[in-house]
Amino acid sequence: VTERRQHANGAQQDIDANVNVLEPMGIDTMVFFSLGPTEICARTEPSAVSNVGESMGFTVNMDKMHLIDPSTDAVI
Amino acid sequence: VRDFTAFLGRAPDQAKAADLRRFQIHMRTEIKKIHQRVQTTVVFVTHDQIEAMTLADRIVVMNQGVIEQVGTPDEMYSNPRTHFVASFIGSPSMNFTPCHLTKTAGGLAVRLTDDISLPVPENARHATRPMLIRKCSSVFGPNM
Repeated sequence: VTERRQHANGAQQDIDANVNVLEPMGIDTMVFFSLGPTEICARTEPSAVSNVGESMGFTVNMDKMHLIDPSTDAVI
Repeated sequence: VRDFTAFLGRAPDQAKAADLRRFQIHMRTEIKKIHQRVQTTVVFVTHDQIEAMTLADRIVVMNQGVIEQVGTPDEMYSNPRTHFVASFIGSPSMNFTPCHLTKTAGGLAVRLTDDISLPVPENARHATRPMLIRKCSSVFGPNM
């Protein structure tokens, strides 16, 4: 998950969410936001980051997604 | 509970911890240099996944005494085979969230919330597997 980018990379999908927490690391900024019951960490470009409480667009690279069977904990 | 205007917190031996961390990172590089020189097989046991990723040609991830996966650092990172390996490798850790796998006109989709559904790429390995399940945990790493 990253900040929304202008790459035409095909398998990218967008999510809008409010920023919960920012963790500036220098080279990246980790942005935490809520997605349903879960808190998601996105690795973002520091200059693209919104303030805490404000909305920000994120992109999910679905090519790098894994699905896990909760009954076996195996990646399927 | 009292009202305080400020809290003072201090991690135990913070200066020492920072020194130790620097020493560990330095030693990691030294161990790698020694190995590159002597070429002898080294078995290195660690609980630090960054140490494992940076040092190893092959990683063996064990969980409760059982080998979960063996592979190169890149294989472990890109293609973890279990939830444990996926959660152990990588910093920050992968994101895990419950989801439902649904069928749409355009193919399969991962429904994360009532409003958010993300299409599964057609070339995804799991999309071609015969065994599809209704409920699953979706995982996507922060490092994308």
